[in-house]
This record gives sequence, structure tokens and C-alpha cells, in this order.
Amino acid sequence: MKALLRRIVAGLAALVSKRQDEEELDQELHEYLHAAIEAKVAAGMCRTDATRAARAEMGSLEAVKDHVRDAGWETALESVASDARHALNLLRRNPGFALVTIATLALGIGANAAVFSVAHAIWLQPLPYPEPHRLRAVVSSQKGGPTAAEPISYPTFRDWQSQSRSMDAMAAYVVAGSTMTGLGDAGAPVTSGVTPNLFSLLGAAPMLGRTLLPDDARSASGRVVVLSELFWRERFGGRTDIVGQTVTLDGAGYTVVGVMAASFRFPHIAPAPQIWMPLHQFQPFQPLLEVRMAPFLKVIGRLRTGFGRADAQAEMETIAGRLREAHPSTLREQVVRVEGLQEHVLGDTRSSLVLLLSAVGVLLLMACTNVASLQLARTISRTRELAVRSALGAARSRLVRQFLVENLVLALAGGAVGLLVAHGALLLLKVPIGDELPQIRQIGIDRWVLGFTFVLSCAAAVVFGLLPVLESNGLISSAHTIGAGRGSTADRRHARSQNALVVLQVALALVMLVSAGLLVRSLANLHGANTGFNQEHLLTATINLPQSDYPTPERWLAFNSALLDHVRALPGIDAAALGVSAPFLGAPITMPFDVDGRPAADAALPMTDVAFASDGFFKAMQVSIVRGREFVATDRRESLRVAVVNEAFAKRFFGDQNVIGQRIHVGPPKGVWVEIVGLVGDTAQASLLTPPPAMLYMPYAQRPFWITSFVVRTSREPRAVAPELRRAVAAIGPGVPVLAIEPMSVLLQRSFAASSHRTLVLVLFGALAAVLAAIGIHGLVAYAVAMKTNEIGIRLALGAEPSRVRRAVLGQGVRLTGIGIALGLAMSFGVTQLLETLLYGVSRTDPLTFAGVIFLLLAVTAVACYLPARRATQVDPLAALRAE
Amino acid sequence: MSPSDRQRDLVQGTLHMLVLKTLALEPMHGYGIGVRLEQISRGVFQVNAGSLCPAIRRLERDGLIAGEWRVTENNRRAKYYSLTTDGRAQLRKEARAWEAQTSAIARILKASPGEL
Repeated sequence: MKALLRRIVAGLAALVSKRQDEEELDQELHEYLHAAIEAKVAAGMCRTDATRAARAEMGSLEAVKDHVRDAGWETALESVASDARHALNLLRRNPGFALVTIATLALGIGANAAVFSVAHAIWLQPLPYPEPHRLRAVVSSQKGGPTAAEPISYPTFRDWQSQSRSMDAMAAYVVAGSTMTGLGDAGAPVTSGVTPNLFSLLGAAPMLGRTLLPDDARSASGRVVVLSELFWRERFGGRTDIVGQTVTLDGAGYTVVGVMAASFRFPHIAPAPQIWMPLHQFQPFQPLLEVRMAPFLKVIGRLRTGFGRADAQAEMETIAGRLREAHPSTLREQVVRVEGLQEHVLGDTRSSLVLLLSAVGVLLLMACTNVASLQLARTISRTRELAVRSALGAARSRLVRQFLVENLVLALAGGAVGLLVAHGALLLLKVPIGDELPQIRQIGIDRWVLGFTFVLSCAAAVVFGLLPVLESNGLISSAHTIGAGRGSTADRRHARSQNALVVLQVALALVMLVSAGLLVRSLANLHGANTGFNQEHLLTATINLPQSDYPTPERWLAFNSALLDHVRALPGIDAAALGVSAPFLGAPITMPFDVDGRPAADAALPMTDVAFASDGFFKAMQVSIVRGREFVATDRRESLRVAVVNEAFAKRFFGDQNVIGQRIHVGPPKGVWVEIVGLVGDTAQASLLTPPPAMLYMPYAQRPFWITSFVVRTSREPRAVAPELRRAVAAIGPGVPVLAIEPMSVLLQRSFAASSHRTLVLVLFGALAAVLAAIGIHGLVAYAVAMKTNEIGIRLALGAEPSRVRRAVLGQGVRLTGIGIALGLAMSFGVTQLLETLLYGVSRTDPLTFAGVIFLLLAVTAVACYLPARRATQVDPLAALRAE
Repeated sequence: MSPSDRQRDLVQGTLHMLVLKTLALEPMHGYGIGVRLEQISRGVFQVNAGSLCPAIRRLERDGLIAGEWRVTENNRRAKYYSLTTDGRAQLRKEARAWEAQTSAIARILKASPGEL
């Protein structure tokens, strides 16, 4: 220990007194030599022989000095520092090379840093609750159907909760809108009704006041709510006396008991909840709490210590099986699975992120190969310098170290600039995502991103630095490379490596561009896709009637009918209708049904999606009526119960039979018998990427809801009608909030926002990849021309046509591109398989896209070769001849 | 560690000890140490400047020897090294360890088949 300290101190001291130490060392070694010579003279040699012998014995004075200096640690540090200085000098003397290299690296590293920042904010960070790995989402879905999470009913949740041993606690939640009045503009805050144990289950602490407590579950105790920090600041001005204040929601007064910090965003959806209240106090759902047929809850749980994921899964399956037997009609098709909460929350974003990460990784690889190629070219031109230095006695390790330091300097510079690129890229990425992802605010350059960038820069240095270092090892050991003419075997080997790198780049660029092209075509197809209805000139509005003023279905029906009549009378309105779970305006309810005259084949009843529509709905939406009729004003509760189905329904459940006149029993055991009176065309419901679902429509008048969507067909600009619509609502029901008024085209666009965004990013990457490949080709061809200047000059002198020379240069570039394209085609057949799920209307081997990309790459090659080709033809043959 | 590395380490360690011992006898300059080592070992150890000078530097860094510029017989300036107290202590320690090692090795080499 003492020795270590001494060494450190001595090293530091040496750094300070460097010059004096050098002088002393020099003197000491000279004295050593002198003493050796004197000893030999004393032994009988003549002075000249003695001098020569002593010198030979000692070896190179400088080498001995080096060895002595190496005895101290500070010299290693110094030599690295001097290597770095040397590297910077080198870069300053070759600004072109430095610029291109740093820019290339900056693009590659920067893009990676940006994507990492996104991935880190969304993916890698654990949920902000204690022991997040014990949190589970208990997900219900349809047996044999899509695995999307479906809600369950409160009685089912209670059964799960009481029967589960593997979970410490389970909580349920629902998110919907509530109507807030009494504070300026009526609003519709996003409200989450939760079982009060939710906060303790998550382990979340409030910022102000308290969270909900189990006691709050009893309706008898006062109505309480917890606000989100953002909501508190926006709507209440962040007032410090918020706890104890009353807010009016759905006509009733609720006391604010606490505020949650902005970092608490359960249940991690967009838009984020602004209010949490006990489930039992959430008015729209109060009548549904005892109804097993009414699913609206999602469930989370915390694993008990000692229980694992498999235990929970097995147990829930057993419980689900038991419930299926006990309630066959309602829970027949239900299967349950237990997922980690984090995975569950991420859901779809995972595939997007994986795509992004792969794309950006490829980009970095291309940047590195570009730089490696440039480095290689430089190494070749430094052959002579290296050979001479090695002959003069420089240790190989020292030269290799110098290379590594040079590469590191380049890489770190690239990384630093890359951070700027990342910052810009993040601004670009955030804009289209907008409010889609809740964690968006957290995405930025934090210390994690900095650390990642640094590590990546070093890794990049290794990757692109390794090749030249390996090559240079070969150079150093072959002494005969001093004065080697051009076209030696060493040169040919280097040319092969460079060629290989460029081919790889072209291949990678092809893969990226093809992927981008396929996605662009998918997006174009989506935009022009047939939704089954006419989305132009269609305004939509969603109305949510507050329970206090409108407590009964009769009131709902009265209001909505009055509003509909009023709107229909407005000028410029071609048609108006209302519906519940209309396309892109709400998720349909799934219900079991059975067909009159058809014995239930097995105990399993078929399920269908159900929506409700007013008279004239299909005409307003311009959905084709294939057979029969749609609803009319006379289809009311008292009259015959009717229904309309779409073609998908007819095909799936009735095959070629005529559906008109069939009678169906829909819903729970005491449900209704309806007669099918109409057959309409299919419409997309929530997404264009999935096939239109089978739909059963029932008249709104026979089953009113408090949340309803209006669709208004107008010859005018849809937005221009909005204020009139609002006025109409205000006239009929003052204080009734209108939740959203938007043209249908906007809703549609939003539905493929994720696709647009993905496509934009990939197109950007594809463009970058093409640029990088172009730079690569250009560099290679330019270098080849420079190396072969003499040869070209001779050819020109011998009478070759300049156009032939040009063609030869171009031919080299095209040949390489051709090989790259072939390689890229092979690679892309594998890669496009990953894109399969994202494509719409294009096959993954779409020939048009491939042809387009190949043509583009060839054009890019031609452009990249243009300058070198021109330079080749401008070689002065006389100068070339003279130089040879 | 490869055998050659081990060998090199052993030699380096031994060289340090031998230099310390040489300086224990009397202070001298670099070349003199080399000559004395060759003399005493009857030509077995011939150390050249490339090994000796770094060893001396290391010993000096560790505070086991101290250097001092003096005028030699021929009126030239040379740096003379001598042992410090720490150096003396280190030499004793290393010599003891070396003794223990060599006698152990000797015992093993002399052992008859039955004893091993």
C-alpha cells in the first residue's frame, strides 16, 4: 500500500519536473556509456573498438530511455495524451476527411441515441411503483378470438378477488368521462373509477392530502375524489387549499381529498386520467355494478410473496373455469391470462420500438462501415510512414495504440455531434407522436442517454477502427512495403476489403429503402381504403348526458330525439343520425345470441358485436343497404323489435341463406327477440388493418344510452357546422357538455397515426441509408481513380477515348452496386417477413417497390460516380507518363 | 500467466533483490552495479542497460534506494545510489522469502520416492 502511494506521488512529481528529469536521465545514460567504454579501454581495447562495442552492448540509447520511462505510470498517460494531440493535428490537416467522418458518425450515433432515449423512457424504465415486477395485469379475452384485453364485470371481479390465493390484492378500474359543471366552462375530465385499494396495491403516495381508502368503498361515506397534478394546476390554478373543496361531477358534489403527482399516471393510457374516484361513486356505472352481463372493468393484482407468475396463471385459469361453469351464458368464452403489468402497458408500442431499434442499428452499422472504408483508404496512404517508423524502432504496440487513440478521438467527436443530432431528431419524433404515448414528456437527453452515447461511440471506434488496425499490423511487419509500387498485393487486398464494405452498405441501403417503400405504399393504401362508408363531409359529435339532469332512459331518448330533429332542420345539412358504437366513434358491445329455429349445436352460443343506430343512420353514413330496409322513426320500443345486420354477419352465421325475416334472441336469458329487417354493407369499426367485424345493429330508440354519437352529413365544410351544432345542444339542454366535435376524416387519420409515424421514420432512415451508401461508393471510386491515375493517363496517352474511361469508372461503381443489390435482395426477403403485420394492401415481395428501389440505387450510384469519372477523364496523360 | 511471463516476473523480482543486495555492500552508480553483479555471480548474471536502468528507476520510485549526484574519480558527474532504511528492510524480507523458497525446492528435489 505504501509502495502504491509512493508510486502515484512519484509519478505526479515526475509530471511536474519533466524537463529536469529528462536531462538527468540523458546525462545518467551517457555516463553509463562512458563508464562502459572506459572499462573496455582499461581491459585493453582501443578506443574506437571500445566505443563501438559499448554502443552495441547498450543498444539504442533512445530505446533504453523508453524502457526507463515506461517504469513510471505517468508515461503511459502522457503518450496517450500526445497520441490524442497528434490525432487532432492529423484531423486539422485533413479537414475534408475529418468532416465527412465525424458527420457520418454523428448521424449514426445520433440516430441511435434518439431511439435509445425513446426506448428508455418507454420501455426500459420500470413502472414507478415499488416492486414493479410483482404487479400483474389480469387479462380476460375471448377463447379462440383475438387476444386483445376485454373488460369484465364487477361480480366477476369480486369472484376473482375472493377466490385468488396467489395475489396479495386485486383492484379493478374503468376509465370514462364524467361531466364537470359549476366551474366556468363545463368540462369532461377523464375519470377513472377504481376500487379504493388500488393506491395501496400500487404503493403510490399522494402529493397532497390522501389517496383513496378502503372505507371510501361504502356508498354511505361521502363522495371523494383524488385529482391529478396537471388537472389541479390547469383547472384549479394549483391552489393550495384544494383539499376539502367540492367539485360537481355528473351533478353530484364530490370532495377533493388529495392530489397525485404528475409521475403517477395509472392506468398508463392516453389521455391520462385527471380524476380518480371510488368505483361505487362513479355514477354512469353504478347501475351496472351487480350485473354480470355488463363488462367494463380491467383488473390488476400484486403477487403474494412466494408465488410466481406460473402459479398465478394456473390459479386464474382454474378460477375462470369454475366461473365458466357457474355462469355458462355470460362467461362461456372467457379465458384469462396473467401478464406482467409493464408488458401489458407497453402492448403495441413494442413492435414499433423493435422496428425503430433495428432500423437505427442498421444505420449505425452503415455509418461505421463507411468510416472504416475511409480509414482504410487513409491507412494505405500512410503505409510508408508506418514502415519507416517501425524500422526506426517504434514498438508495434505503440503504433497500434496510436491508431486506437485516433479512432477514439474521431468516435467521441462523432458522438458529441451525434448528441446534437439526437436532440434534433427527438424534436422531430415527438411532434407526430403528440399525445399518443403518456411518457412522452420524459423523453429527452438525460444521463442515461449520455452514457449510452459514450459507450456506443467507443464501440463504434472499435468496430471501424479494428479493420485498419488489423491491416496496419500486416503493413508494419512487411518491411518491403517501403517504396512498394502501386498495384502491389497489399493494395489489392485493401481494395477487396473496401469493395466488400461498399457492397455491404448498398445491401443495407436496399433493405431499408425497400422496407420504407412497402410501408409508404401501405400508408397510401390506408388513406384510400374503403371504409364501407363515406368519410368526407361528415361531422361527428359525442354527447354525454349528466345523470343529475337526465337520470332515465326516457329522458335520454327525449333529449337525443329532440336534438336530432333540430339538427336535421339546420340549413345545409343533408342528413343527420345518431348511434352508439358507430364506426370510429366507440367500441361495440359483444353479446351472445341464438337463432330461432336453430337448435344450439353445442352449449356454446355465438357472439356478435352490437351497435345501436337511429333511423336514417345508414343513409347518413352512406353505407350501402343491400337488402331490406334500415331503421325508421316508427321503430320504437312498443313496436316490433327489429335489427339490421351487415354482410360479414350474414356470411358468418347464415352462409348463403336469406337473413331477412330471421329471428334472433340477443343478449342475456331474459333478452329480446328481434327480427332482421335489413342487410347492410360492411364497415371498418376501429382500424383499417383488421377485416370488418360482423355487426348487429339495433334501433337506438329501443335501447337509449346516455353517451351518444351524432353524425351529420353536410355539403358545407364540416367544421363550419360545428358552432351551430353546439348552439343546438345548448338550446335543447343547457349545460350539457359536448365531448368532441370532429370531422370523421380527422378521426380516421388519427386511427392510423401510428402507421404514419412509423412510415415517416423509416423513410427518413431509408434516405439516410441511401446517402451513406452514396458516400461510400463515391469514396471508393474516387480513391480507385486516385490510385490508378498513372494507369489512366497512360491509356489516354495511348489513344483511349475519354468516354471509355468514364464508362470504366462508372462500370466499377455499377458492378459493386449490382453485387450489393443482389445481396440486399437476399437479405430483404428475410427482413420483410418482420414487416408482414404492418403492411396493408401490398405483398411483402411487391415487385413495383423492389424495382423502384433498385432503380433509385442505380441512379444514386451514377451520381456518386459522376465526379470521379469526370476527374478521370481530365488526367493529363503527359504528367502521368512523366511520373511513372 | 504464460510460462515466459512467469519467468520474466521472477527474473525482475530477483533482479530487484540483487540490486538491493549490491547496494547494501556499498553505494555505486548504474554501470558499477552491473559490473559488480557480473563479478560476484562469476559471469552468470550479465545485465544490460535495458534491464538494469528501468529496475533502478523502479526501486527509486518505490523509495527503496536513493540517488545522489557525485563527482567520480575521473572528474565526471555520476548518480550514485544507496539503500534507504525501507530498502534495507525490504532486502531482509526478500532474502528471507528467497531462502524459504530455495530450501523448500531443494527438499523436494532431494526427496526419495517414498517421501513424496
